[in-house]
Amino acid sequence: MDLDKLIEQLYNGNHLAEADVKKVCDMAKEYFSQVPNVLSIAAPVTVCGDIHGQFFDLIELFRIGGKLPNTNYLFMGDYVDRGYHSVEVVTLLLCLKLRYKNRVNILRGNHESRQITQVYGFYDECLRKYGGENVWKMLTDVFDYLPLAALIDDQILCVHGGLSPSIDSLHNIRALERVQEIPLDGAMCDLMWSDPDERNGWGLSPRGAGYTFGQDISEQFIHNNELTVVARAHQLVMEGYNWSHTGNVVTIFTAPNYCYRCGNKAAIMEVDDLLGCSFLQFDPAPRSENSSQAKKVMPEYFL
Amino acid sequence: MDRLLFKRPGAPPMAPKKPAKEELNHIVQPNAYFKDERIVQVNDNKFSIYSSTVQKNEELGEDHTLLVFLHGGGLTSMSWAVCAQELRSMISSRPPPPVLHSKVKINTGPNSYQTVAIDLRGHGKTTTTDDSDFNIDTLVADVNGVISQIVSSPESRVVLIGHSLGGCVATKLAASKPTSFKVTGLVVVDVVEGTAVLSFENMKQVINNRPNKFTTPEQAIAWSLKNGQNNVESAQVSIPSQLMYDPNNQTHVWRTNLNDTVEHWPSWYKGLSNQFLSYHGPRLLLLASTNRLDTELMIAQMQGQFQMKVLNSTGHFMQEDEPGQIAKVIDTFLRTFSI
Repeated sequence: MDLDKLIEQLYNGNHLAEADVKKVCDMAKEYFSQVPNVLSIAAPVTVCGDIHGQFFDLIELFRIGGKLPNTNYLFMGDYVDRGYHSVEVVTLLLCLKLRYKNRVNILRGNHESRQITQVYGFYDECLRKYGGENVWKMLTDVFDYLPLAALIDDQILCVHGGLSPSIDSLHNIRALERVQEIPLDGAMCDLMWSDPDERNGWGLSPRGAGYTFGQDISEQFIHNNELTVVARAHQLVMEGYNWSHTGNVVTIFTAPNYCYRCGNKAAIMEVDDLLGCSFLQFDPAPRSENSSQAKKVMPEYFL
Repeated sequence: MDRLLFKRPGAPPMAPKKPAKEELNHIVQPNAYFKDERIVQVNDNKFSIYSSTVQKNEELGEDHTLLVFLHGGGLTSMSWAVCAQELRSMISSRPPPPVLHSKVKINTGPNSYQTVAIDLRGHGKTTTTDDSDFNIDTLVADVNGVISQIVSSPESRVVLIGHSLGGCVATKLAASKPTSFKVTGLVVVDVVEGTAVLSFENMKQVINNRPNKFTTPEQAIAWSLKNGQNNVESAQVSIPSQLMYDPNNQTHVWRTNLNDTVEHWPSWYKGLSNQFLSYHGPRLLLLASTNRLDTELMIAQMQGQFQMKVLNSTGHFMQEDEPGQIAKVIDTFLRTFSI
């Protein structure tokens, strides 16, 4: 398979033929089935948060963060749903991953799930672009194989959502049976759904899935596992990144003007050789979907 | 009007009494879905409420939660009848509580629930001194007054569950921090400020396109099933309750004049998103489409501030279209937060 050709096709904004998606998915499943739950990666690397189908902003990200294969990237999940180009985003990331195996890494987010994508747009987009649900099935099958976390130089733990009361050590994450649909509760669910909170201890998440964890929790986890930082995505932050728990936890959100109307900046985090973290913020790409493709809100009945 | 309206097995019994000639009469509503039907008087206003109790297990203790169901504009308590019944049946057959991690401290949930639906002012069988006062503050004060009379103490736990206009009332009541009971949860069904405000003109048209009279309630049910309503049982229980009989013209007309509500719409929706977010207990927003979210709620949702469930298979009358599914979502919400 000529991955370079597919990548070029996607860069030009054209989605892949169904047969090509199948080839990419087969290759990806094969590859990810050999990958551990917690990836070990080396700095320097550029860490990215939610993309949510905002394809032109992903292209902007590569323009700002540096072209492949000259820059290493780690994406922390939520490639699909909400934006109008989930298919292009996720197939491009898969192709880049397979093409530059040591340069690109991608984790699973809570939207990389059959249940969620049926509600938030990815399923409908696949039907619209391919006239059937095959592509959605193939891609959501790949999602089951995506790794859950990444560890940068044994010090920065990257995960989509956050910590879990069922997880005390990295070993607990490594021991999970991950190849499955995201469960409704338990450790794997929490990794993809939890949020840091100002209140100490564990709390029920207002989302109805995962937990909230306080600074005492992140401090203990970091101490016990000899880490320096937990990097995660999952929550919209207006500046694109946000430190919390006095520097224990950083949130990175990489969909600028989320859903074409939230007015937030996007950010990526550059981790240098010495594990210093710096951030690049960016606004929506000029060629963004904003005006032309944003759906007009249909008048409805709300009495 | 003497013959049975509801022919399906297990369907509710029909009106036993004939309407008096001089006045417009409501069709007597089926109460097979709620055990008790009574009037709660607040000042000179008489609110019609429907209730049933359900126990999680054998012991019916002090420790119970009131689930208050509020209907949308033009509808009545019966809009919630089927869903509330489904919910009670789910609660009574609940599996053991989910095993939460021992590190997570939570309260145990209530032992029993009472489901109560209230006919809002100008709706259903409620009668007030001014049935055309649809200002949101009036409606919120009404519901606050009714609940205050039902609960036993300021510590009583109340989960407010409102559809559409009822969602506005529930939200504004929850945000107002009532003093005579504790709001321990808020469920809002398919109403969002930003989207509602954009839809005013469309909503006027929808109202004006409705027939204003029917020869029989069956005709109204048939009309409703042809116009978006897709659940026969819900239509059969909900639609007749929205009508009243006009003996002079021998027709059935809408109980609520929705045109009277138009001037109050800004008060219903204004500040709704902000008030939803200012209530700090567990919050669930149920929507018939993801496109409904306005920017304020979208940001908050993406920050994980509340629970949202989207059921694409329903129309705006979610709890009537899919009573079982909505009941299941609400049951899960109550269990998750032990409320």
